[in-house]
This record gives sequence, C-alpha cells and structure tokens, in this order.
Amino acid sequence: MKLWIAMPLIAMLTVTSAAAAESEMLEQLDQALKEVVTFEYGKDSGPLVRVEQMVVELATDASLREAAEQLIIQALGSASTRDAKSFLCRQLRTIGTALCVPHLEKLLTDPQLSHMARYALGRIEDPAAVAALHRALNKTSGKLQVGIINSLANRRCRKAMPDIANLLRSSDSSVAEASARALGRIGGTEAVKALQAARHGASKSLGLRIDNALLICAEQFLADRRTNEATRIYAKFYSPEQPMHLRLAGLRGLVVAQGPEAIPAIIQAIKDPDLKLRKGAIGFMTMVEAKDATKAFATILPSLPPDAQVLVLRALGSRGDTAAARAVTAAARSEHESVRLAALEALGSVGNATAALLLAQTAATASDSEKKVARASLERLSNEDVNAILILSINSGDDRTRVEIIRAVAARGVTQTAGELLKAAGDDNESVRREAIRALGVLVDVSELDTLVELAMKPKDLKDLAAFEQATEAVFRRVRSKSLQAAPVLAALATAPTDVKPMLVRLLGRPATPEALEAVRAALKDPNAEVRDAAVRTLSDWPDATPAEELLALARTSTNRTHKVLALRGYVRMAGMSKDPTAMYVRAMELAERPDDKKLVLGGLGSADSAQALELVERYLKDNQLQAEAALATVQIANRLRQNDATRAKTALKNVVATTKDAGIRQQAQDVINEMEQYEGYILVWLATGPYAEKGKESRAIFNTKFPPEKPDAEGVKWERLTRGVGSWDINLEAAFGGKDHCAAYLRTRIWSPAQQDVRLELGSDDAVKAWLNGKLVHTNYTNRSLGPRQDLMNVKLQKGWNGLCLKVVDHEGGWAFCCRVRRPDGGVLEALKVEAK
Amino acid sequence: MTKRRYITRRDFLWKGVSATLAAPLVINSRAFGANHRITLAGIGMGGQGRGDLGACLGFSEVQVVAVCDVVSSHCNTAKAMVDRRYGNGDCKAYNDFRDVIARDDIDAVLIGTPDHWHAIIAIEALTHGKDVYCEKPETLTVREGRAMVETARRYGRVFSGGSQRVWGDYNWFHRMVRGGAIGEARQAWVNVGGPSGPCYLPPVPTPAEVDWDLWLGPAPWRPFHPTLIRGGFRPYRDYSGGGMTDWGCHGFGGALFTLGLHETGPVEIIPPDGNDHPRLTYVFANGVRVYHGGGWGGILSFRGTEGEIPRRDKESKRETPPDIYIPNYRGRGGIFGDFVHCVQTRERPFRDIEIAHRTATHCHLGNIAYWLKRPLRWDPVKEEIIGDTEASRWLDRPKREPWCLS
Repeated sequence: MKLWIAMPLIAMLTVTSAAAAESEMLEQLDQALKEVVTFEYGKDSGPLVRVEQMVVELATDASLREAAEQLIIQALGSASTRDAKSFLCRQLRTIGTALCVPHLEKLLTDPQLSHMARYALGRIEDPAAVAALHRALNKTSGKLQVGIINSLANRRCRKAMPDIANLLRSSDSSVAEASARALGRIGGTEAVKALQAARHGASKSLGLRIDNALLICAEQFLADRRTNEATRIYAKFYSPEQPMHLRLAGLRGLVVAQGPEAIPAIIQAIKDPDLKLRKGAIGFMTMVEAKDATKAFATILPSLPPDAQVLVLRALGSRGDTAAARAVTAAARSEHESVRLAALEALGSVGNATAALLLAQTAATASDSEKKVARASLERLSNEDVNAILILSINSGDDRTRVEIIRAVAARGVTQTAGELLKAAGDDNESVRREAIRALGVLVDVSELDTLVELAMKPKDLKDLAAFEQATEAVFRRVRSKSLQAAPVLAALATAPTDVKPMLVRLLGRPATPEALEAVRAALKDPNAEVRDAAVRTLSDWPDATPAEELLALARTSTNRTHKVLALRGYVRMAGMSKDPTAMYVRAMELAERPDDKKLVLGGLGSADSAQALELVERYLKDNQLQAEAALATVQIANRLRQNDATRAKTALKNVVATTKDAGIRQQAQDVINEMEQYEGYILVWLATGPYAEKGKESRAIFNTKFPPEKPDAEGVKWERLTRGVGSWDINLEAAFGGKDHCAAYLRTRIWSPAQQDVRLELGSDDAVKAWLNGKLVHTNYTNRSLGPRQDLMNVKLQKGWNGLCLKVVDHEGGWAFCCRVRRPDGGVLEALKVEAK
Repeated sequence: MTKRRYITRRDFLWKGVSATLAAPLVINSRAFGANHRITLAGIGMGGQGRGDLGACLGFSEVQVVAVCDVVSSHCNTAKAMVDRRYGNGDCKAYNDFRDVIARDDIDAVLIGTPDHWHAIIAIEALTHGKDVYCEKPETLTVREGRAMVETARRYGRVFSGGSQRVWGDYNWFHRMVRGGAIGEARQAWVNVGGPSGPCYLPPVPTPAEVDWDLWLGPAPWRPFHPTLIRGGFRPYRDYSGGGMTDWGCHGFGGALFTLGLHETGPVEIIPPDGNDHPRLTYVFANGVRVYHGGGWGGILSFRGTEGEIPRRDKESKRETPPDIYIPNYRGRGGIFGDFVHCVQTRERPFRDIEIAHRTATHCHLGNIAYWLKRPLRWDPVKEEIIGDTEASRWLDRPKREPWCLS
C-alpha cells in the first residue's frame, strides 16, 4: 500500500499526545501491512505476526478500530498474492464491520478467495454481511455456491429461503444437498413444505439430507412449543417402511415431544422382534421421567426374552426409581443367569432394605459372578433404612450372610456399628470374627485405636493376630500423626502377653518414631526368640536409614544365620536411601558371603552413579555366578554416568557387550550405546544470555520483542558459557536460568565448515524458537510444545570458515529447553565440522 | 447450569451414587442379545488412529471391516494391521471417508483424524445411523461440539469422546477429592501446553501419496508441508487448539470431572495479566477456580478447604485413596471397552459427547482469551460469550466449501 493513502487517516489522529501514540500504532500497522501485501508461504512471516497482534489490540479500541479496518481494506485492495489476501481476510474477521463488506463481497466469486471472504463475512454481525452473501448466491455455482449456501444457513438467513428452496432442484447434486441442509437450519413451516415436496423422487444422498433437515425442523418446532408440527414429522419417520436409523430418530422424537404419552410406543418397540429397534427403544426408557413409566416398563419384564430383560433391567437401574424394586427383585430369581446378574446390579440403584438382605444372602451363597454383583449393589444401595437393617443383622442369622453384612457395613462406612462389630470380633465363628476385625480396621478412627489394640491383646484365637495386625495397619493409614499411631502400641507393649509382643513390635515399624525405634532396639534383647526375631525383621524393614549401622553390626556379629542375612539385606536397602550409597555398598559387599547376598548388593549398586561404583561392579563381570547381575548393574550405572563421562560409560558398556552371556543384558548395553551414538553431533557448547522478560508480557509478546542481543549495536549484553542443564543432546534452560515462565534466552555458538555447503539445521525447542545464521534470520516458529529432537528442519547454507549461529528460545509455561545440530541435507553425518562457543 | 454438589466420603458411602449413574458392568456381553459383532471402520489412520485401531482389534465383539486415510501409506499400514489380526485380506481401504460412511453394513466408526475433521466426519456418520468413537480433542470450535451433541441425540446414537486419561490416569485424584481428602475443593491447576497459533510453514511439493485437498478439507487453503501430516498439526489454529486442547482435554477433563464441573462451564475466563492473574484463570459460578499451568504436582494439583493434593511430603504422595465407588467405564477394557459396551446396551458412555464437548469448550474458551488477550464472560447454559461480539466470532469458523456441519 502507498503510504500517502493512509496518511489522511493518520493525520486526523495526531492532535494530542495520546493521539500521537495512537497514530504511531496505526503507522506501525501501515508499515507492517506494506510488507504483508506480497506475502507468500515460505517468506518471512514476521510482519504477519505483528499485524495480527496489532489487529487484536486495535479491534477493542473504539477510536482506532475504523482507521485500522480501513488500512486493512486498502491493503486487501493492493495485495498481490493469494496468501496475502487470505491473511487480510482473516484480520477482517477479527476487526471487520459493515465497512469491509463490499470489499469482501467482491471476493465471494473468486474460486481462490471465496472461502476466506466467507471466513470473515460469515462472522461479521452486521446485516450487510448476510445481504452480501445472499447477493452472491446466484452469481456462483458448484462448490462456491455450496459455500455461500452453507454460510447463509449458518446465519439462518430467512430472506434467502425462497432462493435456496429453488436450488433444491438444482442439477448439481452438491448444491441441492447443501440447500436441503440449509433449509433445515433455517427451519419453519415453509422450509418443511419445500423439503417434503422435494423428498419424493430425491436421490438417496439428497433424501438423506432432506430427512436430516426435516428432523432439525422438528427440533426447532419443539423449541418453539409447536409440538403438533414436530410430532407429525416424527410420526412419519417412525413408520416400518423407514430405514432403522430414521425409525429410531422418529421414535426418540416422539418420546421427547409426547413424554408419557409415548410410553406405549416405547413398549411396543421393546417387544419388536427387530433387535436394533428393541435396543434403541430400551435406550429411550430413561427419557420419560413420569413415575408411571417405571411401573409400565417394569410390568413388561416377564414377557420379554432374556436378552431384552437384561437391557430393560439396566435401564430400570439407570432410572433409579424404587417403583421397580418388586419387579427387579423377582427378576433376581430368574432361571437365566444373565437376567439374575442384571437384576442384582439394578437392585443397587432401585432396591430397598428388603433388597439389602436378599443381596447379602446372594453374596453369601451364589456363584462367584453373582456374588461379585450382589456385593457391589449392596454397597451402593441408597435407601435410608438399609444401614439400620444391616446393623441389626450383624449378630443374628446365618453366619455366611453375617460375613457379607459385616463386609457391607465396612464398605458403606457405617461407623455407628462399632459396638456390634466388637461383639462379632469375639464370635465363635472364625469367618465372622475375622471379617469383623477387618471391618474394625476400616471403620474405627484414631480415638478408638487403643480399643482395637486392647482387643488384640486378648484374641479369641492366636490365629486372629494376623487379622488384628492388618486392621491396625489399616487404621494407621488413615492417621497422619505418627506419634498417635505409635502411642497405643507402645503402651500395650509394656504389658502384652509374650504371644502378642511380636505383632506389636512389627507394628512399631510403621510409625517408626524415635520412641518406636527405642522399643524395637530393646526387643532385640528380649528373652523370647520370637520377639527378637520380630525386632530384627522390623529393623531391617525400617522405613528410613536410621538403624543402618545397627544392622551392619548385626550382619557382622549375629550368630543367627537368618538374622545376619536379614540385617545385611536391610543395610543394602538403606544404602539406596543414602547420599553416599557407594561407600555403604562397598562395606556390604565385604560382608556378603553367599552369592545371593552379593547379587543383592550388585542390584543395589545398579542405582548408584559414581565411577567408583562402576569399578566395583565391573570386578564381578568375570565371575560366572554373578556375571548377569554385575553386567546389569554396569549398564544401569553407565547409563547414568554418560551424562558426565561419556567415554568411561561407553567403555564399560562395550565391555558388557563383549563379555556378558545374557543376550537381554547385552542388548540393553547395546541400546544405550546406540542411543548415545544416535544423539552424536548435537551442539552442546553455547554462550548464553538471559532470561529476558517484561512484566505483563506473555510468551508471544516476548517472542516478538527485540531484546538487546537482537540489536547489533546493543551494549552490555553478558554472554556466559553454558555449563548447567547440558544434557547428552539437549540443553535444559530451566537448569541454567531457573524455572521461569514467559521469558527468552539467547544462545550463541560458531560452526566451522571446510567449504561453502548446503546443510540442514535440526532444531528442537520447548517452546518457541528463532534462529539466525551469520546474522540472518533463518527460522521462526512460535509454538508451545515439549522438547523433541528434530522438530524443526531447515535447509541453510554454511559459508567456508566460521559461521555464527544464534538462537532465541522462548518459554511459555512449564519446561524450557532446546537442542540443535547440523546435518547434511539428507540427514547424514557431516564430517569435518568444528564447533566452539566464542 | 449444573450446580456443584460437594460429595463427602460419607455422602458417597451412605447415600450411594446418583441413580442415573450405572454400576460397573460385570455381565458378559453375550447377554445383550446378540452374536452380531459390531462392524467398525477406522477413519484417520495416522499414528494416533492406528493406536486406537490396535485397541479395537483386541475386542472380540468388534470386527474392523474398513480403514480410511487421505495418506495412502497410513491406510495401507492400517489395513495390514487388520488383515494380520484376522488372518485374511477382507479389510477394505478407502481414501474418502464418505465412501466408508455410505456403507450400510458398518455399525460404528472410529475417528482418528486431525481435529479439524472430527465434527464433519462424526456428524456425517451419525446422520447415517452409525455410532461414533472420536479421538480427543473432539472439536475445533464450540459450535462444532454442540452440533455433534445435537446430532447424536437426534439419531439416538452412542458417541464416546476419546480422552482415556480422564479416568484411566487421574482416578486417584477423583477418589481423593470426591472422597473428601482435601475438604471442599476450591482450586485446581492444570499443567498442559498452550494455545495454537497461525501456521506459516513454508510450501513443500505435495507427494503423490497425499490427497492434500482432502487433508485440508474444511480448513483454509495453504500449501502442503510434511509436518502437518506427521502429527505436527497441533500448534496450528486452523487444525487444532494446540496443547490447550490436546493434553487439555485430558488435564482439564480430569480436573472438571474431579470437581463435578464436567457438565457445565466457567462463567469467566481471565487471561494472564501479569498482575492479579498470573495464569489463565477460569472462574465457575460456585467460586471454584481452575488455572492453566502452575501447581506443584504433575499435570493436576488441587487445593481445598482442608488441604491439597498431591501432598507435598513424599510419603503421602503414595496415599491410598478412599475406597469409594465413582461411576466410570462400563464393560471391559478401558474407554474403548466402555464404548463397545454402550454400543451393545445403548447406554451413555463415560465420555459421552456432551461431556467431551464441555471439556473441549473449556479449552477453546481459554484459547480465545489467550488469542484476544482479554477476559471473557461465558454463559454455560446458552453457550454464549456475554457482551463481546468480536470474541463470539471465535466460537465458530466458516468452513471451506463444500464442507459444513449437518
């Protein structure tokens, strides 16, 4: 665009200082638009990005919007490429008003731009936009006319209806079908008449569009409370000569339109021999809300074949109406298992207190599949009387049913049942007793923990102790305070019978408080062997590394072989928690006598990452008994070590490939080598500066802001060699600059090429990235993504000698990283390149 | 709009679940009447589509009879997968989805195309009486979602969205929050990628194997670029809502389900302003706030009146959630098993299109606020932006001829 065209517009706005700022913005827009008018894909998109941002801002500024729209209109008139015009139409979609309509209207008949003209016109609210679309209707044909019809339909242009109705008979089937769709969208009696008139003799595909349009018209009638007109349409579709999907659409429409009056039609369809109609109708059962509907549907259950009964029962369950309880209960006694299962499942939603006992009995006596469903339903039953009847039944009746009832009260969280459960926990029947103890573990809270522990001190049978231990642990899981967990157990330990003490000692390992540790240490000296054994096991399982040295001493000095092994295992486990695990593993290896113990230590060493650990495990690569474990540990350590010492890691891995007999481990080692080699060539030496951010600006604005490193004459930019966040192929900028969002970093390096040559620059970034080669912008991609190798590929030319490469990597939110390498244009390795960070 | 009902653990245990929510299915599918297998066609057989296809092939109730893609190599690979699974060569390969949908012998379609195609293909399939499983993000615009819901309901079809993570990955959060672990949930943080933007990739000659015009379909014309057909279309607005809708449908879907807000929408969407709202903020009618980004967990973090999850201490991160029943998938085999079950029983799937559309709309609204850099007010009942006609323009986009919805 010529600047003089815009000048009068701009001149009007240069009165005050505010106006000066406004004028500046319009001038910037004008400048950017000048660059846009020749845009083609592949050229610099920077001006487009700037225009888009300015348009968004200007669209909300009442004083500037019109002037900005004029500038875009003028640019549209002078644009010389399809890509530029398309872009400008997009901007008019954002900012356009009636002003731009005539200019867009001209494009409606242009095969290359008609869509983009509609893209804007279709969403401009002013009636002039719809009128322009209407005028274009009969100036177009084929696809373009279809597009115009579609846009008029979306705008529900009633004025265009007669013209569109005429096009229903177009010889171009796509135009006729689009017209049918449009009439459905516009709706109303006239549209229905036109559609119905065209339906007879219509082709299959046009008929399908007309049917759909009529159904949409019916929906509009319903929304307008014109139920009779809707019903007439639906009734026509719900006739046997229609295809099944239309019959179902018709039946569904009748259900929506008529409500309870449609119940007989649903029932008739449910009884129909056609499976699809039957299933569809059952699917509509939940749409009728009337109470009577539940009874009507429930009544037909016995008359249906089993497969239909199953679906009807599920639908009754979904209705959740207790009016179906009796029929569903009866179905739970069906001779067909599938019907019984569906009924038991539905009872969970529609059942009452009576159903609760039936479900408990079924859970106690029926097959595994029925038991599972009955239990689930018993848990879900929502009737208010259910909990009361379950509590009453805990200590009476058949033992197997009692077990199920106790299970149910636990699952339902019936806390006020503690008294009944405590009684049941001392019952003569073992199953009842165990289930009651388990339920107590689920239901008691911290204030009742001492009651549970006291109960455990006097078990009806010593075999119940395991159940008490599990129940107590279950309560522990709900009590966050470790000291509250430990207190009742410590108190009980002082007076507990010897038989119960091992359980209490084991329990102390859960809260693992200092007091608990002292008590366990004391138990190591208990005269009773079982108590001592429990203490050793508890110490070796201790959740932190506090007793590590005691375990090491036990492993050295204990005369009990089992205790030596347990202690060593505990010590090795604790080494894994240590900040310096290698030293502990070395000590453990000195004590390990049996091959199994050495394997354990080697397994632990695999989680270390020091050269010392690598050296230790490599010693066992030639030991036939330990080679597999040593090789695996070597691969694991080398895989971590490669970040810091790739050469050492690769040597170790190659040693594994050469020596190990285990094909799987050999392959793992080779995989790591391959991965290391795959990422060879990534540039890891960079000078960096950053982070750059501006308050209130998000990533897109940061991406477009020229910070000092982008300015050739900028002073005071501090470039530093990047040392943190350098991975094996990627650079983690969060590690280098901290976890900031909406900010940029600049990275600089230089590449020496032996000759001028075409190369491929392979970039990956999290998130947006720009690249300059020898000072020229070669790539820009505003994006928000996670880092991956080779996300952006671009062909560039390297000059002979040194080439300066600079990247700008912008973080949106979350991760912030990049990777970069240079390859041959075909992706192959480039020889003789040198890289240095200068 | 749907009111948030805070369900305490005790509520859940004592009152049971809402009657409209069905229990887990344990009934063998043969009980639903039929030896008839569901005949299914896969449309959009790129990486994600073929992944879904692999899941379909694991179901004995399903017979895959056709595959379709505008990239012939994708199509051929998918056909080979199917033929290998069934030990025959019966699966038909198509270039144009309309030819697949026109087949009367197909019961259901699996849609794995890029997002800009989802609505058109889904609506075409529904109109032909087929059930639909559609990958997420199910929609590109808000209006597409409503049209998909209306069409599914019109024909009484089963339509499942495809976000398997909402339940599969995040059920720990659902159990914890709905079980009362943090009291009344008030805030959620969802860590997913950002919005999409314009696409200015350079032109590249179109390979013979690609039907580029059909790949673009309803999207504005632009020249071919290989990134777009290799799953790299997500950063670009013409084809996708970016990370906001990609992982957003998982993350926001999970957060909204956890908060019981999955059938409604926010009333205000505020983009980051560098001051009071450092992050995109969604405000709901009940005062709950959902943020894009931030938090302290992975993808999801929640704060309530009595605490937050994930817990900050290591041990509690492994906390066992309350043993409560939350309605989720029916059938066997995850989200696709749920779809298969519902096709057989005509029940609503876990990710019914209404819920999927609500989640996608949440994501789209965030995108619009990002793009326009201004707060939006939203009426979740009428599904309208209040008092901002220009912003409302983004609720729909005219499609390239001859494509349209319905």
